[in-house]
Amino acid sequence: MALAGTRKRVRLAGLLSPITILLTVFFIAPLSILLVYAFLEPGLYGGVVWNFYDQNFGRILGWADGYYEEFDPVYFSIFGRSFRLAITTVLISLLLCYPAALWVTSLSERWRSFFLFLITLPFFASLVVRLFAWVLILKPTGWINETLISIGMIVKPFDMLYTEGAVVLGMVYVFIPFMFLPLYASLEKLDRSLLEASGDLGAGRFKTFMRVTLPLSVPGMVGGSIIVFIPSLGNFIVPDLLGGAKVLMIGNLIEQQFLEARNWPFGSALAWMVMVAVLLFLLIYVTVVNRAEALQEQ
Amino acid sequence: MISIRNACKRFNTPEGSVVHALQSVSLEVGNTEFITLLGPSGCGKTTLLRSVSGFEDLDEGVIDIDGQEMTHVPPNKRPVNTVFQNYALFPHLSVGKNIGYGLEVTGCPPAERNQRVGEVMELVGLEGYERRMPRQLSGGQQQRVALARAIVNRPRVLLLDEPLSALDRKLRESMQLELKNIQHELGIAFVFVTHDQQEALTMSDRIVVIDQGAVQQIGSPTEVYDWPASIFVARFVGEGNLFEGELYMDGVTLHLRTDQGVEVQLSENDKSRRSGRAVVLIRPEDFQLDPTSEPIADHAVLEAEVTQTIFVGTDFQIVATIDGGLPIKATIRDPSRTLAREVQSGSRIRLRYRLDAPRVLPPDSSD
Repeated sequence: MALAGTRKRVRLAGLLSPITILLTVFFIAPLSILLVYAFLEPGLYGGVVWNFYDQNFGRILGWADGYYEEFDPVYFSIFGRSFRLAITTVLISLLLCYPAALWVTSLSERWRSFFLFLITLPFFASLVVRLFAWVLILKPTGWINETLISIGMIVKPFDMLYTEGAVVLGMVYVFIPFMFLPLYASLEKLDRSLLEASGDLGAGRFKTFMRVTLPLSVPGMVGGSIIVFIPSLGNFIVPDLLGGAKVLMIGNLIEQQFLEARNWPFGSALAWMVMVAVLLFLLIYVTVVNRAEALQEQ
Repeated sequence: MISIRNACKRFNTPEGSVVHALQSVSLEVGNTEFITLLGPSGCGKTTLLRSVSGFEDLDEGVIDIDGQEMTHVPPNKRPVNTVFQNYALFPHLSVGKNIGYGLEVTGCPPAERNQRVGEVMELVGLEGYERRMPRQLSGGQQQRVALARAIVNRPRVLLLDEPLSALDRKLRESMQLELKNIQHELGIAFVFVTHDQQEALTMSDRIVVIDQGAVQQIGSPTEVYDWPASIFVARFVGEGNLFEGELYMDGVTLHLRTDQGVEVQLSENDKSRRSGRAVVLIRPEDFQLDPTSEPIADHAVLEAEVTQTIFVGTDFQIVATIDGGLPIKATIRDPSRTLAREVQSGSRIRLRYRLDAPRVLPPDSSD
């Protein structure tokens, strides 16, 4: 008995140790280093000075350091914008994907596989190429503006590129599969006899959707939202290409601190701040959703 | 009252062939009748039920409920409710909300809704379970919730699609009686689908035997059991010994000579034919062991050699072979249990039956 238990434990350790080692060495350790760096003073020409330094976080929140910085919530506002754009991205992709996922579940087995394949097709092309295509479409001399001008609807080109709208558009475009797949998974396992039962009991299609389909697909909506929200918030390729210098998101800011400003401590503080903010945000989100579900159950 | 006239439904299989799920089915269901659609799986009984509830459209034929044609009436507007085979309880709603769902979506005021939910919960014996979630209930309790949910809207007809098939035998038997009582109390029609002939016999006012999309027989349980209209019905409802052969009259008694040369005597009755090819049915329980060889008036005897004797609880089941190789089954009640010793494999027995017990059925060419 004891021997069997030991053998089981050995086997479990054997199965789990590769991933544990990988994550410890390449995830937990770097994260810890980042945390230490976040409380160190940046060196004048890059690198760090080993002094305890709390101004990295102070700067993010806009507090003046009492020497050469005044209260300036510029970083805080970048945080705010990032959250706003990420949430907008989540909402738009949810609205786009839900009807589509619902429709795909109504198809025959063969067509479902076909559309699932289509949804994953963009992954086969380079992200940068796909985003650069949007630059060509949205730029002042892109075909949208050219067409509108040539048919005389507008005189001077719309500023579409390098706007928040362009960034949201790009992120929705990139993250749609991440929203679609969890939604599809939860709608696909919805028991069709529940819909029939609802109809049988007197509910029309709309009521059935509102009272059966929608509440039962909440897990898919929550899952998809989280999977889209996190990479949207930290994204820097999309705002870099489609937002330019005007629409800076946290991702760009962190990238700048590490690669251009060479202020690693401040970059580390920003990275940790994002992580804490995301965890807090998700905690609140999941709590609210659970509370709403519990209310419905009564 | 439901009136189904000439209902036809075809399905195309993925292989490209056509399945006739319903072949001109006609049926009338009375206002307070308990009617059972009985047949093997895939016979079309569920399709018929779903046509009444509105989830399947008929290719041909008309369904009227209370004199109103239902062809273009969607499921949510039909005066019927369904107890689904897998119960189809809403997993995100409590028992109380599940049961009140039909009232809620049709705009019943909350006070009345609560009162009616309370009433049906009491009727099905679920008091106190209002706040439970479906996943916290046993199979039998879930079944009750499904039933309560379906009757709370006070349908004219309740449709039940094999509702007891997931329950164990004891529970199923008690639910059969309970369903019958509830139907009586509600005073509405029940249309009950099952493949279990015992269940059909126990519960129904009338049984509709369906095979391959066509109605084989409609009748009361005793009619269907005692006077099966076809070989299929005879086989599907209860057990039977079937002898196929030529009928002929010998003086006053009717005889059947089977293809193996066995003579089966029977008396005429107004339903039987006198000549030509036919199949004769004798139920196993129609036989008695005849220890003497003295002839008894109005009885006949078949001699056979025992191959097996099985005790099945109340009766002994004897499997034997008549001369000529025909297998025969007899069910003998013997409270003294001496039969097990006396009738063993290899012993010869005389199986006596009343001459009016055998039934004459038309031969089945496809069989």
